[in-house]
Amino acid sequence: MRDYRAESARLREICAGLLERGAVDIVVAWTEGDDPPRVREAAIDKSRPDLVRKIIWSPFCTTSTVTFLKKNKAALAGKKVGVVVKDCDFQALNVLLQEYFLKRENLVIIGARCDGLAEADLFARSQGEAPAITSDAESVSVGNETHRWEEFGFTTCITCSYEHMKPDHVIGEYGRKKGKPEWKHLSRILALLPEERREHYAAIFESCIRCYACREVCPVCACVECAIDPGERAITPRTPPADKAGAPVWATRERALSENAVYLTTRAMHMAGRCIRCGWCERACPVGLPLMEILDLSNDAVNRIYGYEAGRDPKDPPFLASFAETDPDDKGATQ
Amino acid sequence: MNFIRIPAGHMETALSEKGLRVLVPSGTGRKGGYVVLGPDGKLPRECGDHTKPSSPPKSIIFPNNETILSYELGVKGELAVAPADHSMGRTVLYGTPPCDTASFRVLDSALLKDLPEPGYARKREEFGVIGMACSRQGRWCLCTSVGLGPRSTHGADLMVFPDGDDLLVQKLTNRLDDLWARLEAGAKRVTEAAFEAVARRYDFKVENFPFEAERLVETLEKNFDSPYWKEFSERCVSCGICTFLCPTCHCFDIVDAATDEREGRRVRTWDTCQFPEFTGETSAHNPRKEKWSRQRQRVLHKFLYHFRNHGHMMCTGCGRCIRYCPVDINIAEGVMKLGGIR
Repeated sequence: MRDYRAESARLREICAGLLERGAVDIVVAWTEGDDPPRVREAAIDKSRPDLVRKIIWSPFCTTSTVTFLKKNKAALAGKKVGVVVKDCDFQALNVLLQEYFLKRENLVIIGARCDGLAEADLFARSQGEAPAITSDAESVSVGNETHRWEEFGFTTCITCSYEHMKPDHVIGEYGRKKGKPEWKHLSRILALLPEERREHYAAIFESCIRCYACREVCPVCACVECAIDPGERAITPRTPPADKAGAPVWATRERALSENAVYLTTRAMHMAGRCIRCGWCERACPVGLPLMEILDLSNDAVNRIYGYEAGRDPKDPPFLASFAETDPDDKGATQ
Repeated sequence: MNFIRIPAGHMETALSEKGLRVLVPSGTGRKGGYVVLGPDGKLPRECGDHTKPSSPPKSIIFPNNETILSYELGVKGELAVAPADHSMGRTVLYGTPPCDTASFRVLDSALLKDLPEPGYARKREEFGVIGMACSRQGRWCLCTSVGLGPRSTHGADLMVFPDGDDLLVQKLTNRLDDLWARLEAGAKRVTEAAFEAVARRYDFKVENFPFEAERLVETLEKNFDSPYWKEFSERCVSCGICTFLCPTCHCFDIVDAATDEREGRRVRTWDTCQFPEFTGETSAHNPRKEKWSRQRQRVLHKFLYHFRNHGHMMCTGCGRCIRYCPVDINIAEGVMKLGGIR
């Protein structure tokens, strides 16, 4: 049985210590919000002891502190940052470290060993004093309310196999056996005939409303300028036509099958060897698209054919920048 | 007389007119939507937060993707431009909760007044709303904080109050007069007092967020430069969920979508103040480069600017932006803090 109140107390102690000692300028952590058991990320410096007291770790930390780092890169630049991560966030950090998007010496990593995530909105809103949050191998409880892990439908958590976190500080012990990456859900798609597969994907692509939540929440979707956006260049009367044309529009904003397909497949391809299967894009999608199903097609190929696990270790080379003579050729990749 | 009592089945018969498209809420949350009722479909018998799909009904007459015109270059280089036909056929939306129903009052004030938006205006002519009183609140609902409530009728042409196996129907506009005539034939008339006795049962208060938006307008305006905006939006990821799912957000972009070098379409799509490039100018200057200024725009448009221009809140209290925000940004909490009551 894990007691997240106790683990949170330990986490607060670590964070407060780091801030007091000046080991970090800022801690990025989950905090209790106004709608518990939901949590929210915050950047906390020495001047906010009120926020330090609100730091929390629980299975409801379904967001990514690494996305927070990415989204507040400018504000955090030049600062030593303590960041609280769970296993998949640690993997995301590794991807960004491998790609030199972040510098390890600017980070103090506080790892929370994670048994899986839980859907806060399935539980009644906590009232009054924060109730105990506990979990065991079977279920998660808030006060007297209990839900089984399966009920949350977070398949990426159930199949999560990552246990290689090497943070500077760590809290919690695994209370549940880690899963195995599973690709069973793909066999149904891989068995489809090309036309059937086209239909299957067309239905998904057509439902996309292009809010870009999948891209924005993704902790490793880190391009400064996305190929899908129009970009930020000045056009003046003196701008030569070649320069204007030099910003290609890969997909217009038209919400048409063709454009939505370009957006979603571009993202899926760009995620090859980078997707750490945190599943946040799928959890965030407001229209319930099965985004992991698209991403897992490349995740499966990367894992099965090349034996590569995204973000396993910060010292690993990035997937697309690595080559071994023993790599199967592209025939192997298409089989 | 504007109140009648009918057996629920009577509504189904009246709506099964040939050529009339009926849309109803179907499913709930992310898996739900406002969908066309099939020939064997059943009308919803109640409504509430539990019947509210994540997608708002605005897309029926303000679609995410709408062709404005199509163009084609002839063999001799002559350009043929054809404006799109915005007609969609007679359509009735049935069983919307008051928050979604009221969204059409907001959209009408923005898209029909002064300079009507042609696509919206054409569809609106053929479109009617039969709202339903709400019987169950959700944990993110805030209708009673924004001047509405579980029985408010704004935006509705007819309003339905379920009462056991019967429906009490209130007529509010002349837009659905044909349908009203069919409903009225053989229906029991109801006095206003008898109607009120039923309607009152839906008069519950939604108390998730204890504030009255109209009382906070002045303070919000004074807090335009509050440092709280930064704290409010610190974890914002600048996606479009809050605005695309909002039943009243109506900003759009226009793009040319070429099929090939000879033909294509001019298309209007939803746009959102939360995307950084929304206010991007040709010079590359961007007056709302920071996400806190974009969140400020969203909140103040809902709770200050629209109210000043049109006399009602632009937020209808459906709670979608709070429920579906991936990082738990809560507009009600923000308004209360900036309005000085928390």
